Amino acid sequence: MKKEFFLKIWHNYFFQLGLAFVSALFLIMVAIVLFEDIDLDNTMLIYNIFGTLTLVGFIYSYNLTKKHLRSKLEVGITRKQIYRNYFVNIMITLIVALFLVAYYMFVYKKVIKNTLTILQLFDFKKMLFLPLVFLLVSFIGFVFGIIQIKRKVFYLLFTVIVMGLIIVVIYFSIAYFINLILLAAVLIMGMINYLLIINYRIKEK
Amino acid sequence: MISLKIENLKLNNYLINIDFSNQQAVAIWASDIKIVGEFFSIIAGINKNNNTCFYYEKDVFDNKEYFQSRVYFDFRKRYLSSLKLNYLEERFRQKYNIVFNKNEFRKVSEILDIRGETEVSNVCSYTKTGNTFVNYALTRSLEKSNIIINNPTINLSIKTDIDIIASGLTDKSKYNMIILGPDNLSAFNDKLDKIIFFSDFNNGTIMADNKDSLIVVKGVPEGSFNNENIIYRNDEKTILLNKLTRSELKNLQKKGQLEIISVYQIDEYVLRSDP
Repeated sequence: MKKEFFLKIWHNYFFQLGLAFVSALFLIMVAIVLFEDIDLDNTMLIYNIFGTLTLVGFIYSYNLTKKHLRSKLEVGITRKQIYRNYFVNIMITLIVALFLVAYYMFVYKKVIKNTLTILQLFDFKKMLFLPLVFLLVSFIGFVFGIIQIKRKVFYLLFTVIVMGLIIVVIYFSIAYFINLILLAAVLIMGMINYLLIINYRIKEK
Repeated sequence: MISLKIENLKLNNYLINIDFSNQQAVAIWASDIKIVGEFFSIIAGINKNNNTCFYYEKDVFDNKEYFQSRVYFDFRKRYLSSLKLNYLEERFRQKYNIVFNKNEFRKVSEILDIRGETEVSNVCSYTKTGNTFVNYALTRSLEKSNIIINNPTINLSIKTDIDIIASGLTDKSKYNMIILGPDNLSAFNDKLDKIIFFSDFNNGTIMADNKDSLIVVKGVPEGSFNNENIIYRNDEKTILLNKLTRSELKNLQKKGQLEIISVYQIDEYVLRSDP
């Protein structure tokens, strides 16, 4: 009985999310304290958070539409519900990531550069750019899954996208208009994804 | 009472008109197995039907009410990678908001000895027979009143196993609307209310009752027949629903061209194409 209760909690999504979140907060704090002496690039951890998130978002979106869409429909989840759940999951992930980044900035300022303001410490154009890239790349993964792109091609394209993004982030400064273009692309992709999932004819395998 | 109505659905070359009623077990048979899968994807509301399929007069496509009441499984496919019942119960509740009756799953597992068909390592891998067992147990465990099952006895060879699954899937005390795409129609002998044949000959459907019979005629039968009853025809034989008059039957019998079989025996006479 006790074991069953424990398993029930352990398999609960909210518990798992909460545990991961608390672990992340703890690790960020440890990382800042450890990196204090070596004067590491202050945005490195932010890149890591959004880089990981983009990778996970891309693969999650691709797998959802390529592998799991049909079985979800078969078991009785409608297309609209699937898309709504997907969208909510992506948004929750983004909000959690933004909170982690905000927490990191706050702790970084407090521990390392107490004299400077957050605006002086961090490039906010990049702070906007990274979440938008996460959304766009995830939505592209969603389309790749729907059009049943092959796994090898998927990873090849993913590598190209990641390389391109790394080059952009490191070597180019991000202008505000790029963020606006990205935002428009995200909105358009969101609508395209909705139309695709509603109208797509799922083939027999 | 009619729950699912199909009106003028065009699928490949077929024009389909069928009514599915409550408390009925219906089987769909087509010489091309793939067609059954495509048809099920449409009547399950997964693919669009151009406003031709209705569940209580509402289009079935992406219809939330209909989706909540039905499940569609193709037993060739693998749906579960774990047999941990607590885990499954939680997963179904959290991911799909579906009740998973683990006691029912346990009961079916014991009857069919699913563990004997399973190799457990970091994931469960089943034999082909085991996969059919698991899918059957899953179907029984989900609290859905309408079921659409394709290939329900696939990869089964032992008669008792086949009987358990055939009886379980046609159990009207548990299910309201039962639509099956049997890989082996004879497994459901006397358990169905209707059998709907997709006719290659007239590109429509032919409905037979449980007690109806079929006529197998060598080659192309002589005399005038009602083409509406021809289910299958090739160079060697013609199979038609037995709606012939006595004199027509006698004529054919005299020429020794005719064999009368149960509707459930059609698979013995037609080698169906596998996708």
